[in-house]
Amino acid sequence: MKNLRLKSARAALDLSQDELAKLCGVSRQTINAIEKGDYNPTINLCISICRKLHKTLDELFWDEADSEGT
Amino acid sequence: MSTYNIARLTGVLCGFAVGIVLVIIIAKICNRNRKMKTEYDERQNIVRGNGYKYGFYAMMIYAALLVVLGVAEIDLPAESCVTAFSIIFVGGIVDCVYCIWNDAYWGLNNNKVRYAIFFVIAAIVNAAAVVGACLNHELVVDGKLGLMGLNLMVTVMLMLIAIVLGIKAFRDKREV
Repeated sequence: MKNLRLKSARAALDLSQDELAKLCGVSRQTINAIEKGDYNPTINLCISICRKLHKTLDELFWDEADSEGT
Repeated sequence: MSTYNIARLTGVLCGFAVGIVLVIIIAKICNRNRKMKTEYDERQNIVRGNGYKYGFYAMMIYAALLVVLGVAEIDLPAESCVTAFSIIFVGGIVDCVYCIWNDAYWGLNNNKVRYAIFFVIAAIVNAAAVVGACLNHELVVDGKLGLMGLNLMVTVMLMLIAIVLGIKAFRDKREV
């Protein structure tokens, strides 16, 4: 599932995928894969991304639809 | 062991030693932070792990095929050293292609341009050795691919990697 919240948070700070990748110490393709939903990042990378985008884990990575079902 | 074989073995071992030294120097020059070790992120490490796995499977299947051919006493048109190297060739190609296709070939600290220059130089050096062997009729000896077959395989390997890198770059540009 695509992570559009991450994409919009990044765009709100006017950051490119490459810039965010460099800030987090990963490759541009990894950020792209997370946004496309092709890769589930570890909690460490999630925290790093959230810190750089000034967001919480809930805001970027918590899926309300999934949590309602459990 | 004849004097010729000792000289040949010494030559190959010296070649390996020079190769190892060159790899260390090239890695230091081509990595942006002058570190020998290439750094990968967490996704790339997972992809590379899968790449090694598929490369290993490919090597196993290919080695098993060679065993079957050996049992059937089918003589391959290549010297044993070339056949042995072809196992590394198959595994390496599978690993490289998988990593390239899943964006895990280039590390975070790699300078792609510098690496590309060294790839081209390595391909030219190996291709020149193959052409030289062809001209001196040393590539195929007694109907078998000789020691220079190693250079031929390295050239083919580098060309294949370059082609896959090119296709991947073209595909990525079209996606953006």
